Amino acid sequence: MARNPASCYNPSLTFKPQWAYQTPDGYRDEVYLVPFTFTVLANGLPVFNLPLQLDDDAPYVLYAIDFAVIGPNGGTAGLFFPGLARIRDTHGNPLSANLTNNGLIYTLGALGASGLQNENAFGFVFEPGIECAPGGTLLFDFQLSSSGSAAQFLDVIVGGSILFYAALFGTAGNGLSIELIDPGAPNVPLSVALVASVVEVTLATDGGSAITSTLNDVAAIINSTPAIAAVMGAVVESGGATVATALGVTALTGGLNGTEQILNGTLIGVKRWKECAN
Amino acid sequence: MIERHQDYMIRIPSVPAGGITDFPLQLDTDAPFALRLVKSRNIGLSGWRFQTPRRQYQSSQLRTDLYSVLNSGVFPSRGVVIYPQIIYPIGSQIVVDIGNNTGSPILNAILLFRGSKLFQDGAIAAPTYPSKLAGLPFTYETVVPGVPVSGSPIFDNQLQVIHDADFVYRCGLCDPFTLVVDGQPTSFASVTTPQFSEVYVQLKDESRKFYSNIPIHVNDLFGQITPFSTGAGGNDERVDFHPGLITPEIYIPRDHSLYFDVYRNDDPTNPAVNMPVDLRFRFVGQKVFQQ
Repeated sequence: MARNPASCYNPSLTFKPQWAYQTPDGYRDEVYLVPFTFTVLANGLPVFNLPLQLDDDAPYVLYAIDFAVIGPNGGTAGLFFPGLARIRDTHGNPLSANLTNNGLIYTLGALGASGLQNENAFGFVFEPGIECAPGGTLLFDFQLSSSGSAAQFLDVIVGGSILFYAALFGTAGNGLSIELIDPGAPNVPLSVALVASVVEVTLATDGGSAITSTLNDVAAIINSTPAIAAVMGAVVESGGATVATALGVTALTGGLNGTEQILNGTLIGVKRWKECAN
Repeated sequence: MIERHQDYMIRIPSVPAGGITDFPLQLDTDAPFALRLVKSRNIGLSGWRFQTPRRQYQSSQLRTDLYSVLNSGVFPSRGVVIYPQIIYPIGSQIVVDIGNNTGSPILNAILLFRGSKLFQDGAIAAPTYPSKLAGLPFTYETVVPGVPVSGSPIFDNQLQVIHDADFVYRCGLCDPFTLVVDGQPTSFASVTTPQFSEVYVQLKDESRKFYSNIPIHVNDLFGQITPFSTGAGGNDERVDFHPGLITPEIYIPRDHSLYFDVYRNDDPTNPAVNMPVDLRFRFVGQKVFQQ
């Protein structure tokens, strides 16, 4: 089917022309929307085979899916769809493949997302449409990133900042502490040790007992020492060349596991009715 | 006639204030090139223009491929369409002018010319649709994990088409994403939002024949899904619905592959882009079942 020659592309328009397919002779298409809701625990683990059954009165041709809002209470939860997903049509055919991840792919391969701030709506077209059997069931698989958080502490000093975080995500990472020690002695090398649940970083000094370790040095020794990296990581957020300063024993806080997310979506397509023969 | 997707890109390390003229882009010697779209990067409103094969300018003045939306600012586009197409002969040149009204050098100025190489029938392998088929919308994803901030390219990443059907690649997306799992090791992506800036990709077919003369910026070749409602004309602002269209489409028979090389050269001193990223490339198109 040729594209409508009157269609044109204007990048400033939100709605773009799509390929059009004629309804087969003897049939009549009627637009039909199917809202649906899934509740999925966002803990990073896959959830398979969430069903969405279609009406059994006529075949359904699926042209697009829109996920209006995804969030803990059906509200907004940031700008990004938080995970992987897959759809299988009513004949069991998966519509995506990733040979290394159960076939689930990021955002279902969505083609567009909301441009509104604090909305994570996204949607995509199926081109060509997918013919679904009357009464058939679409199956959805999801694997949402944890909506929890890692226990962490952001050390902000003049000229820079460094983030310390627990090596295990969620509540499993609570209970750790970080300490940056000014040795107060000359020519001390940079070192790190794990004492009980405290990561102690002894900062390097020069001949005048002044600290010489930078934030980059601190992050590097934490991340490159296997015994420490097993429990804690560090990321320099700004000013990596800034000289570190002493920090007393400070707990990493805020480690939380993920919670349930409500995924509101809508199927967009047509019911394909057979015309009466008369 | 066989059409094969082709991108030509020129990258000029520094365009002096006032601009440059008559900068040549040498085309390959294996086939003529049908030019259908031009996109700029880092040039902004300074503008550009180019010459046709007859060495006539295609526009009377410098032009831009940015566009503005009322009350929302200036956005980068996917490029300006060249219609009707302009066919450059084998081994010819596209000669360009690039303006610079900024008063200081423009660094890393890029012009991307998109279109098709035109081969005689039988000149190259060109698999295509069977005479009778059934189609199914489909998306393949290939993950390139832990792309370092800079260093050696990651060669021969593979989109392998599985054995049940051929695949037609029509558009692509690439975003950084790392799955976070409760109780599992916390990655850098769990506590920050890793981003990238200077990532370039070069597609190639199964015989390792490239679809571009040099690597293309990933956001020009693929596009990203995370849009934003306002902009100021920056290269990679998140704009409305911009998948990376591949025209003409690339047809890959079942059990065959498409390959791509990934290059990254971000600034390790820039906290916004100084971490590894897990890049998820999605190849969007259609399965083709022979009947």
